[in-house]
Amino acid sequence: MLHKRILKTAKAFLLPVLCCILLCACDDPGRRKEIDEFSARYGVPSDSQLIVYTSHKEEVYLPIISEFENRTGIWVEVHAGGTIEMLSEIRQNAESGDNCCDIMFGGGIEAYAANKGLFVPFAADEKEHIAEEFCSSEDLWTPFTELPIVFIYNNKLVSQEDAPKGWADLFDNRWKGLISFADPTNSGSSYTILNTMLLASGQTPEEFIPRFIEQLDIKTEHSSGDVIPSVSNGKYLVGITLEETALKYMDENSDISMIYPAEGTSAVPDGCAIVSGAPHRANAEKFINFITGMETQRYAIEQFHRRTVRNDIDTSLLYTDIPLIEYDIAQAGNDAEKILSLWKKTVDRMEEP
Amino acid sequence: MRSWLAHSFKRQLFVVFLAVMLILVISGGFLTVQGFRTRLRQDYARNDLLLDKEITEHIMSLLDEVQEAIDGIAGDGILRQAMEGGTGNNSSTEAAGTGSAINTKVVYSALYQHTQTVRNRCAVDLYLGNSRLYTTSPGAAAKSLPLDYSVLWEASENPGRTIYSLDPGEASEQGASLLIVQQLWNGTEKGYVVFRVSEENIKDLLSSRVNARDGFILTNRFLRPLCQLGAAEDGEDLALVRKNLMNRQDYTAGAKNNIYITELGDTGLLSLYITPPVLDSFAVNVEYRIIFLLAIIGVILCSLVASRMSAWASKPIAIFTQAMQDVRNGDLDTRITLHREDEFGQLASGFNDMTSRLKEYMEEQVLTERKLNETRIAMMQAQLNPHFLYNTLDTIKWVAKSRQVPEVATLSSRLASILRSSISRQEFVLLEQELKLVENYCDIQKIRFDDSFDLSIDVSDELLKCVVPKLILQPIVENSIIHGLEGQDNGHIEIKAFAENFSESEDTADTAGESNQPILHITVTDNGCGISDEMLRLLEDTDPESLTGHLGLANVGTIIKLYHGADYGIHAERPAEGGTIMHLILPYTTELPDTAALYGTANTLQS
Repeated sequence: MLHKRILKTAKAFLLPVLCCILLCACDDPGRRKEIDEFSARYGVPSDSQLIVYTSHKEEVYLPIISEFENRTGIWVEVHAGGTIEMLSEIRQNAESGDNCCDIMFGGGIEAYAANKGLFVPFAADEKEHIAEEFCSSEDLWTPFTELPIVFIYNNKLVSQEDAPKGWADLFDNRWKGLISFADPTNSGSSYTILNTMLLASGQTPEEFIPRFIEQLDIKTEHSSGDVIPSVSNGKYLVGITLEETALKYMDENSDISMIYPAEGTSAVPDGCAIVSGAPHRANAEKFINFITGMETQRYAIEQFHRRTVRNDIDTSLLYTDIPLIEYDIAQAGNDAEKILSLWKKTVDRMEEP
Repeated sequence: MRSWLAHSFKRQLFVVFLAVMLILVISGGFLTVQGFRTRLRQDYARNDLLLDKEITEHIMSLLDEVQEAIDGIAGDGILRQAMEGGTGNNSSTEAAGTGSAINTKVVYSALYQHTQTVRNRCAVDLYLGNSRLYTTSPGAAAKSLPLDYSVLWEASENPGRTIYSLDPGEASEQGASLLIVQQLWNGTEKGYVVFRVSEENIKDLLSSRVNARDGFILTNRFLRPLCQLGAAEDGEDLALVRKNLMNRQDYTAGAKNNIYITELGDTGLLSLYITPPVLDSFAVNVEYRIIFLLAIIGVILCSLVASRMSAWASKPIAIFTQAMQDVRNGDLDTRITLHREDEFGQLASGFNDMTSRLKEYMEEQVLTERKLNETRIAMMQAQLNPHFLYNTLDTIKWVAKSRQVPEVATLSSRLASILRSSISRQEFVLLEQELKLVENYCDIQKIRFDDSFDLSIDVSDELLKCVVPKLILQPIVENSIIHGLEGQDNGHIEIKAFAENFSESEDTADTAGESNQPILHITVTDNGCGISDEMLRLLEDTDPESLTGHLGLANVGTIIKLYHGADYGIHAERPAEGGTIMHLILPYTTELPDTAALYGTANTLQS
């Protein structure tokens, strides 16, 4: 009885109080209207959205994505990070049934080959103009640009004559512990380099990896972005990196020179693929057509020092052809886990006192 | 909890006070804080909007000046000639070619003239195709812009329209230069005028106007930043707005800061002005802490007031409780003394009144009881040593039988029978037994009066089982024989009984209401000389005292009234044809009454 009465009183009391609070909490109606109007006008409908996971650097993906937005009116949500990190995020999303990614953009295509299950096939509209050797047989991915591997050296500390000319030269005693190389378990491009060297050497992984780590003196840089700066500042004398990275750096600095390995190198393209379960599939297709289109490819050549994957652009004035070794992408993708675990084990073993 | 509350008035008071106080303090405090914050927020919002407007206007005026400069350049003949006509000369040999030196100077002077107002805010470039021919920027490096991409592409798609875009070459999540481009010339190659407003330029323009704790962001229509200033530099607010729009929510949803977005005319650019929340969480915390403190003080005050109040209110209640206890223990002299005139005072005087009345009633009851007992004792005394008499009579009967004197035997046996009834401690008997006693008595009297009267009894069988007080008929019959039939040879006494309000189904008498109480009427009629007027008056007198002289009759009336109440009793009448009718009125019952119940409230109170 007492409880009921108290409850009744409380209700009678609380109701007006709550009303007052609600009234007070309201904002200025003019401002409210403005927010509503803007939100309604600029709110992005689902069919004008695209979610991109990218391992490209900001200066690469931003101009492309911004141009894509301008031309199509599609709003792009970008998640940027390392190739391995992004792919594992996509895998986690797929496992949890959370479809929140449309496109994976960037990262060597071996990484795509190793994660075939994450993607759905799509053939770009202009596929006939794209160099066939880089394409996926099942159209699971589309190549974006070709990225040859090169040597760099600090031209203030190393003379042109002394600089290594080919893969074999790297094992010269004078470079022991002085080669800048990114940790392949962390950097996708570093794995491509390792695999290229392995192929060029003709040795088995079990023979080659301990030898190479020995030559590195077990020292690696954390990410591929650190390779050039560490050569530039003299911590290392030579480095192995991607052509575009080297050219870009050389654009603004003069203390680094670049060498194409004499035995030939690999030019594994970076890729782009539609993630399975993509919530904005149509826009994802538009995006792939856009990045393989003539304009973007030209832009990539001019601005990023990248080699196009299109065969209908005359590049003879832009860059010279280089000798390439046979590089089996599918095998590289399949072997990745094995080689990287071997790498890790070897490093661990050698680090033990 | 419930019983904890229910058993203490003090706690109930405390809880009620506490509830009222907490509701007042908390809701009041909350309202005050909210009201204060709302007011403050509105004031600040007004200020923010003014500031935002001012900054927007500032940028717009720069953009307007740029537009004016573009219009000036578009209308300039020298520049047109330089960009359309003089193409061959200029493009083949970068600006300082032979013979074009004068031309270059003329071109530059025209360019500088048109861009005077805006030159300190931006660099102005003239592009032919993708290469820069003329520039007002001091940097020497030749800059190119992609033709098929980005801003030049957009400008060439929309000739004559001014394009506002970010420079793709320096794009970062932090910002990029704003390029304001229009394609003006259509020579062999397209010519563009490009105004480059760098992040630094915008910062210079606005940093003095944006408040120290505020932030400012300039973006394109996809919310890609051109410039982020002050508090907005971390990019969090921009990311939030973008996310909200992509989720089709209010763009301010979940924002800690206040965000004001303004569209800059039809340029497709957006300006975001960001101000921190009016009251940061610290201030709000302080406010709530004050409310909390008030609540604690309130609780302490409440418990104090509650204990005082309950003492004030519950003290009389305690006194009442004690007094009630006393009364329950039988102390009817309990009186409550309260020096108050409120409801408690009235209650106290009511209580006192009640106990004194109760006491009076009790005394009355005790008196009644005592009287009944006295009467009973008197009757007992009248039956002095009945056992001895009974035994003696028995002896007489046997002696008479052995000596063949049947009258004496009858006399003594009837007397013994009467005596046995008298001796029994039963106070109630069946009507049948009572009538038997009357018959025995009459047998004796017949012998005494030489058969000068006869007795007839007319009572139906079911009435014979009625229960009546003992010895109520014999005194009446005795009165008739001794006073009514004195000196008469053919006296006649008739006893009749009938029931009123009687129904077969209703078996009981004691539970039914007064009006439906079945009543047993017994009449004793004689054909004697008739009852005297004095007796009639005495019988109608309700006061039993006056009947003391006529012990028998008095006993009958008194016993009936004491047992059953004033509604019952004995009446006498003298019919016109002579004789007397004595009329007994009794409750009709076939059950032996609970003697205790008959003594009324006095007994129950004492139990």
